[in-house]
Amino acid sequence: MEETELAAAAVRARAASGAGVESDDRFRAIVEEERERVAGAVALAELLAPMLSERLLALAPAHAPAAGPAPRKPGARAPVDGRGIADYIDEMLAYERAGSP
Amino acid sequence: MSTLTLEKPPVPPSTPSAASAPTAPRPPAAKASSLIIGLDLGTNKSCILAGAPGSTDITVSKVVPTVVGYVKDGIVDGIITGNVRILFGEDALRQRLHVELVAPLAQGVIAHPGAARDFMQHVRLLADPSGRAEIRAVVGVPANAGEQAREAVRRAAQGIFARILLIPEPFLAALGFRDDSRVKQSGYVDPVVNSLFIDIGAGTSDLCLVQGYFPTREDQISIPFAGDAIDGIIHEELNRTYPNNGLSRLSVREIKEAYAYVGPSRKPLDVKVVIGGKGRTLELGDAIGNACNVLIDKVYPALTALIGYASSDSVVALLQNIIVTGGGSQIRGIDTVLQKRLADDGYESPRVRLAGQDFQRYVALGALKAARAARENQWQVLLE
Repeated sequence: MEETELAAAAVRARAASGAGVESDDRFRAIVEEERERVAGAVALAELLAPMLSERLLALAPAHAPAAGPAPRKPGARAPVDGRGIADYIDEMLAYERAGSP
Repeated sequence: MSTLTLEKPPVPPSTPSAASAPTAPRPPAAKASSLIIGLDLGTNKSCILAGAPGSTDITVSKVVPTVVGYVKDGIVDGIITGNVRILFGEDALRQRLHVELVAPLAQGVIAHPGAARDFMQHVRLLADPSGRAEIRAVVGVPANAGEQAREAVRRAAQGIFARILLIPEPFLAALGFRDDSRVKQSGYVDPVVNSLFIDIGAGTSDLCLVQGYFPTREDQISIPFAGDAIDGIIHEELNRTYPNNGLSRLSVREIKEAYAYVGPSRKPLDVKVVIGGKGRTLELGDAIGNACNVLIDKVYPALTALIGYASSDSVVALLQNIIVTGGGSQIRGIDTVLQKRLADDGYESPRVRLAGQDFQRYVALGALKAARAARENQWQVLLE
């Protein structure tokens, strides 16, 4: 951009206002000032990004796996307590009768 | 030869018991007319527990190799004790030169119906030497066993057991692993209410989410890769590295059972073997480690898939109750490697435990508990 659009705009401005050492110096100063501002912003971003990432991970649900989670079963049942073994067998037999292996 | 044993099940100390010592007399014949059996019919080993209905005692507890030996033609009289034509378990293995060994099961299901039926007869004889008792049996079947596999078990038991009930093995393992004396104690995490069982056998590795309801198909994953497949990989690698070694698959299994491990290489791992009558030392660190690590690569994705199926309310407690059982639980480091992988993947404080030295009995123990609790109308009658 600096080499194409900005350079072309500088040429047009110089031609319109009349070229002079003073305007060239002022143009270079503006470009230099902008370059430092962008460099400062990049450095700040590089510094802040890891800190921000850590903060976001800490806020995420604690049990979420970092990679490759399996899709959650639709309508997953919550654990049930206090049932007898015969109740489980009833459930199994009903499940078998329903035609599942 | 097989002998009967009498032992106490893991019940509260205050529970009254009819038989309190190993030498307790057998119940009167009239009361011994019915018997219940919990049977873990495994590919390589089977566990048989038996006792009287209405009691908490276990009168028979046997772990036997699931193998039938048919005596070869032309064997001279007297070579085989009693000149019997069929041997079972350890007896068959001891006479392997003189018998044709048949494994009734392959990958957890019946592969040889005739041998399976003969083996069932043997199971019956172990549980009831008199042959007079009416027997009801709860038999473990692999998770996701299809109707064909279930029907094969029923056919093998027809005319041998009076009634039968087939229940998935991982659920039985959870029932067997449950410490009934602590179920009502605060702080005790009941494996039947919230746990994940990894049952690594010879033919299949079965994973099952047990959350207080009967596990459905979605709660169970059966992987056709387990101990036998590991033996195959080690055997192949041995034949590549040490050609003409002459080691049988049985010898390879024995080596695996003695040295199996997962995780980083434990090379050098020197194993003494006898080849052609001469003692040799083979370095098997990588051969064993690489083969066993394949099991981790197969089991781990299934484990995370089942964890993902658990409800968000229960998953944190579930992660504290992951239990490895079956022969695969004897692989060194399997609990720590699985636990580390879960932790590395960000799961919250996972805890993977081994079922312990009783790993061979939990399925049968769960089956016996189920047999004792089953209602009359839940049994399936096997017509002769």
